[in-house]
Amino acid sequence: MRRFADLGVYVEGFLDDIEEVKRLIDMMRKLGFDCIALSVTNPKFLHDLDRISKRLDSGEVNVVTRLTIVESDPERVKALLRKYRGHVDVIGVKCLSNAVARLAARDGRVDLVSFNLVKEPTFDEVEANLIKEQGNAFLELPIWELFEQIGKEHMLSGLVLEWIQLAREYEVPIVTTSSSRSLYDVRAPRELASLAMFFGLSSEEALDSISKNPLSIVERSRVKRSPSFVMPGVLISGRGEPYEEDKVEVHGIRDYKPRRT
Amino acid sequence: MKRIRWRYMVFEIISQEELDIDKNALSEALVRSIKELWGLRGLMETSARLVYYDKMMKRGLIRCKHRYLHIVRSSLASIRELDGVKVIIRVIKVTGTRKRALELLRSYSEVA
Repeated sequence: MRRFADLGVYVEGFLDDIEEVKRLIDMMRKLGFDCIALSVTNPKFLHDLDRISKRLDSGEVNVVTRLTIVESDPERVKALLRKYRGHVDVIGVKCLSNAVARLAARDGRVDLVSFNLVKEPTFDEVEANLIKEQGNAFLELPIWELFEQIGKEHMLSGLVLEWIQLAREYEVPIVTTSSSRSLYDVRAPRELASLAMFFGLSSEEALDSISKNPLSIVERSRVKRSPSFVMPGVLISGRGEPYEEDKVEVHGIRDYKPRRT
Repeated sequence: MKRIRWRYMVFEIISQEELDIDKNALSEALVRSIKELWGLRGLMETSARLVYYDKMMKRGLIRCKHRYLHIVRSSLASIRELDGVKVIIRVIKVTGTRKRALELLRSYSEVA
């Protein structure tokens, strides 16, 4: 059975009202989600977000945290990544300039990249190739944000179709998020998948984009943040017995003691 | 000629405030939403129809062609407001027969 995740639920607007956040999580559980990423765009809310997510994380729903970086200066993006990568489960970058887009595509610390339909930059071949070759980011489809932009300019919907074609061509995985900002913006997983199908994903791709792909990001992040993680490919699987100096026998010399320096 | 295979969607409306909307208004909202997202062709292909709506329970039944289920689903999901009230329209179950769908709706109203 599939497990579903929504990695884009923005709670900045009501972060001080824990009851409202609780209602939102209850609603999402009722709708059928197993994993929810409470998201903020301003790092100053991360402390509150962390506290709330730990409090509301239950066995039924996995509540994780996400920071969305909205910047046009690549140096500032680098600084934010350095500072907050270890504190949140998911990091998304909304690309406001070409330099940021290239950086986000290359940088292994970025989980999700999203683009604006109205303004430059856009998801192009260079971007897709960089993600494929160097980065491990996923292309994000924030449904309500895209709908709002398309509402202003209908011709823009064609651009999303192009993004999806490129993502398919360069094997860039896609993650669909609701990008909801209130309780009544969230939608059930299969409804979200059908909205993703409106943008040109096939049925299987749409379901993967709300289940397999986002859950793999959360899993990857959990492994990286665990104390047993040393570096990619190296994990501490267990610890041996403590070293006992007295019983050491080296080259048949029973009383050998290592020289202390 | 190939027989048309229908699907019956049992749905419920979760609203922020008290919602006073009748079957006709809801049907119009559904048609408007399908047209807006998928165009006239989408509307034609799905042949979607609001079969039943219980105003008190805020639950209903939509019939559409099985192949175009996603069109109706996405159109329902894209409805964010009804009569000025914020709503979530959630599909509870999709069945292959009208009888089974009505049974489900009846069981929900008995539980309530």
